[in-house]
Amino acid sequence: MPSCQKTNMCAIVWMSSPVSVSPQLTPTGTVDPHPLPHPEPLVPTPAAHPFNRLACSDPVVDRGSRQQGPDRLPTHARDTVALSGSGGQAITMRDRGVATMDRSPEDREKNRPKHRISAPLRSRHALESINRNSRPNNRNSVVLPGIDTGRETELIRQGYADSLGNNRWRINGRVYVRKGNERGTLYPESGEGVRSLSRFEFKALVLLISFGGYTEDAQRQFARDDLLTDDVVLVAFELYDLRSKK
Amino acid sequence: MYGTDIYLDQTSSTTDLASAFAQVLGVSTKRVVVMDQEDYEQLGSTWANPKIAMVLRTSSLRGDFPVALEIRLREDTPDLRTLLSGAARLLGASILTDELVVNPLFTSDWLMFTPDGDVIVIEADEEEFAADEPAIVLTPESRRVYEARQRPAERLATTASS
Repeated sequence: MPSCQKTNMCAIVWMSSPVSVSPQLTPTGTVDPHPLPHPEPLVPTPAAHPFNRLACSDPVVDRGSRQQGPDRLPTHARDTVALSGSGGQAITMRDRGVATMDRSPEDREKNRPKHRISAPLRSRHALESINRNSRPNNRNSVVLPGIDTGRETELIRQGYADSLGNNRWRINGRVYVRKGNERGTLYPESGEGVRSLSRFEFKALVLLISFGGYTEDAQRQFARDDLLTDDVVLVAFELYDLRSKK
Repeated sequence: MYGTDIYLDQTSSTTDLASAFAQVLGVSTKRVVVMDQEDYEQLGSTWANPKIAMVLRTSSLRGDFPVALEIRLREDTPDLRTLLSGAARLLGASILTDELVVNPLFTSDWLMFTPDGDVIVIEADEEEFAADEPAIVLTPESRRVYEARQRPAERLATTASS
């Protein structure tokens, strides 16, 4: 049995980049003293999302045993997937390391990258860019729809992110790492809305895209492939679901 | 059970592929099956046979390493380095993997096994690999490294044909 209840609504922060500052309500109903102007939630709010399971507080639970047959996935997928959660606690944007514009020039200078950086490749990392021809890497860092990695790169460049050392910066709850090549390409590493897919999770996602979802044909392919286990398909299905709702 | 993707710079017949990987694994050629990437039906029936030690699923892409092989093995943690090094030597092809690079986040980095036994980190254009029609296209610097490692006979052939 999944341990999260559909009635257990969790706080989901609004993540974005700042433009102006005026007090406003957070999605949890508390007043954020350092609000950010972008009103778009980067992940659906629990109330707005058709599957409340996506907002439960626990990470993926009850992966279940491998089943054969057409109905093995949807049951798992509806009950067990979690996006992010706070255990019901109100979380302000500041708590989550969201960028603010009230940073002193000294602070900005301290956090500014010392070398050139360039934005992550959208065609590689954006969930909506993955298509039926996409090929996996060993690890595949995927960014959920609505996250503007280009804008966050610019904020990092201007010193509004927190430098974590070792060529890493955190902004809006996400950690980016810089590759030491000429262009200084940034890679989304972890945090809110960043998923790291294994090779076969990525392949399962590509299969779902190719078949237009968890269709009978897709299920037949999954059943023939022992590396595409229920756990693997579940991860892919959750992302496919988010991608489709974009 | 283990699976990964590798990329070769040269095409080989299915017989040669099966023979090379069987030799490196130390098993009979019959225990290595080569099939098309899209043939899920064959994958299911082949892998159900416990005598099959390895499955190679082939597909193609644009660029410098046009042969894609998804390899599947029964064991969970095979010695990939030994496997790829041996296969590169037997097939006379350079083989790319992204399993053994330093930082798995850096998706433009690949480890190349050459027929001569060299193992080198090279970089490919990430944009090309993420394109609608993916390709592995070496960066100019890595291309120089790659070309310098080609066997003399191949270098001559390349020069003559260009």
